[in-house]
Amino acid sequence: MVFAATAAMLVGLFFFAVNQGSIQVSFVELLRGLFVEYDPSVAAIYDLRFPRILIALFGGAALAVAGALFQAVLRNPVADPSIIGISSGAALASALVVGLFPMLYFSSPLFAIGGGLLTFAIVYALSFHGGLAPMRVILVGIAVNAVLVGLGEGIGVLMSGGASMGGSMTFAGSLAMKTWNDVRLLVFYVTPALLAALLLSARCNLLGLEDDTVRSLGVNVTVLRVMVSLVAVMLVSVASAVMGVIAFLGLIVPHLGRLLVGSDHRVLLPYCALSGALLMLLADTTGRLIAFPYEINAGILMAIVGGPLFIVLLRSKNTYYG
Amino acid sequence: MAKQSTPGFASLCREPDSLESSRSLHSSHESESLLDLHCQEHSDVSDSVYRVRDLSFSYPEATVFEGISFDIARGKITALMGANGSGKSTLFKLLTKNLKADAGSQIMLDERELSAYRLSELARKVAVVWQQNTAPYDITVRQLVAFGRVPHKQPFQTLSHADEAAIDEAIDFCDLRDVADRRMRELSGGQQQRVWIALGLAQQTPVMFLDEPTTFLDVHYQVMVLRLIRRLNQELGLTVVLILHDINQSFELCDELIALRADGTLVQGSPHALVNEDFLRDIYRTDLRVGCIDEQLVVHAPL
Repeated sequence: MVFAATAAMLVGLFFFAVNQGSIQVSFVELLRGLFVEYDPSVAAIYDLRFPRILIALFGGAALAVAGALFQAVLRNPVADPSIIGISSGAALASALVVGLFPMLYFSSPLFAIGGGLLTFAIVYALSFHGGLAPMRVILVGIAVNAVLVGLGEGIGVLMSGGASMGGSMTFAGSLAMKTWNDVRLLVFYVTPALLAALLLSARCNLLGLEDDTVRSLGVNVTVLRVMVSLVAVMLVSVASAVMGVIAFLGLIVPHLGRLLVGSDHRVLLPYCALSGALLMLLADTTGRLIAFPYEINAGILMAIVGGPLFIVLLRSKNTYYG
Repeated sequence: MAKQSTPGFASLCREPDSLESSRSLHSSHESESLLDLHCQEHSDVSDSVYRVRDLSFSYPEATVFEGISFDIARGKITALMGANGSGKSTLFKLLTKNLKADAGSQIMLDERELSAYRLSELARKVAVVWQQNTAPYDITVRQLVAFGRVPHKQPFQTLSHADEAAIDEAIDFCDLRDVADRRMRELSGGQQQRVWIALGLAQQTPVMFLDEPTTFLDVHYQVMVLRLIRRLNQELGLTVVLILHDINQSFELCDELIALRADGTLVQGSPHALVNEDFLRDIYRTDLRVGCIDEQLVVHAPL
């Protein structure tokens, strides 16, 4: 039910998004232009709007699923990859690589994943104190994130001070100026990671139990944690490499999902993918239209709306846990 | 009325010798499939599930055990007891492979080194009910008990009919059928504890460990849980090893005691043979009185 409703909204929004902006065509024209004969308006839409829409869909799905995975691993409802610095680490690594070695563009997600993993390892290592207390992970993550954002902005200034800014040092994520190359790159890396997440979904449910219990069921909890984390880091890193840092999406969508479909990850993860795509596309489309002809970054919009929502979630935390 | 060491349990309360020996030999062979599954594993093996020799263990700061040896009898209920800090939780974790014993120690589970068991193999042999438990906020009893099948499945396998049957039986045995589709958080503390036991039972292991299963419960539920544990042993033939925080409950429930002294040594035996005031002073370093109500040993602390 909830799935169908969300999917219907997603399809509706998709067609709405396709048709909003300075060029407008009718639905029939759009289909004709896409599948039957060449139409300059439709071609422009195909080149300019389709990539950003598809990126919003895949990127949103990736971030939302990653958020759900992190929340399972850290057994904490306020764990979000953008809060604990993973997104920033990935975006910084990818921006550095693209800025310094533009020819490595297509493999920039690999560097982003490296940056994400490195950040993840740093945050976990610094938080480890005879166990992983979730609050400590989050506090350390916030500090690491601040450093990374600072570094990123500093380097951004240096780069743009020199010549034209080659690599996009987009810390507040934006979907403007995206091409089919970006789409291919995102889809290429995100699809296998999403499939891996779905395969792990039944195992993620185990993480809702105490570690001792999981272990006595014959499952190595640490290995499971690392595996799930790796998938999550991969999703976030690639999404951040392509879109920049989008805050709060990975936090809010899983919460929404738990309210609507429950905490069983076999249902929750697919739902997160669907509604993450919806929310990201909604943010991007709204950002495009709200102050037309100017654009507001999806990342900025998400932060403005997400901040208050985050506080609401923090305050109502006990609804889910404890 | 000066302190005097009491005679052993046998002279205080009439020793029900014959009863004692018959009880442990899986009194009921009438119960069906769960029983069969549990008992298959017993048929042609020795009387000890665990054989522990020269067990040593130390934390970086302190040595807990130095070369202790004991057996845990098959088909019996054994309690680990001792004062706080005597190492009963440590021993519990050593036996369930949650801590690694020092080199030179030997812990044999069914004639095989415990360290040689893979985690999943061990989980088909030994179920553990921990004191500290957490469940997802909206999980139902049945979904939780279903986790007990995890050790029997490959990571991506779904539940078979046999699994479903095992889950149903565990739920029925723990008297949870009426609440099977309710959410955990709607249940009382006593019901929740039975769900955790049902989860262990669904693992269909011949051995079950329980860590203070009656802590946090009021007397009504404590008795209910203790009766359930006794039925696990008597009707299903499970070997039960547990820590109980109430000494009287240990005496009432258990066939065997493994009592740890503060210095890391231990004494082992039936409550009848062991318990008297000297023994209690030895273990708890406190003067306790031992009496008898309805042929059952009772300890109380004069204040």
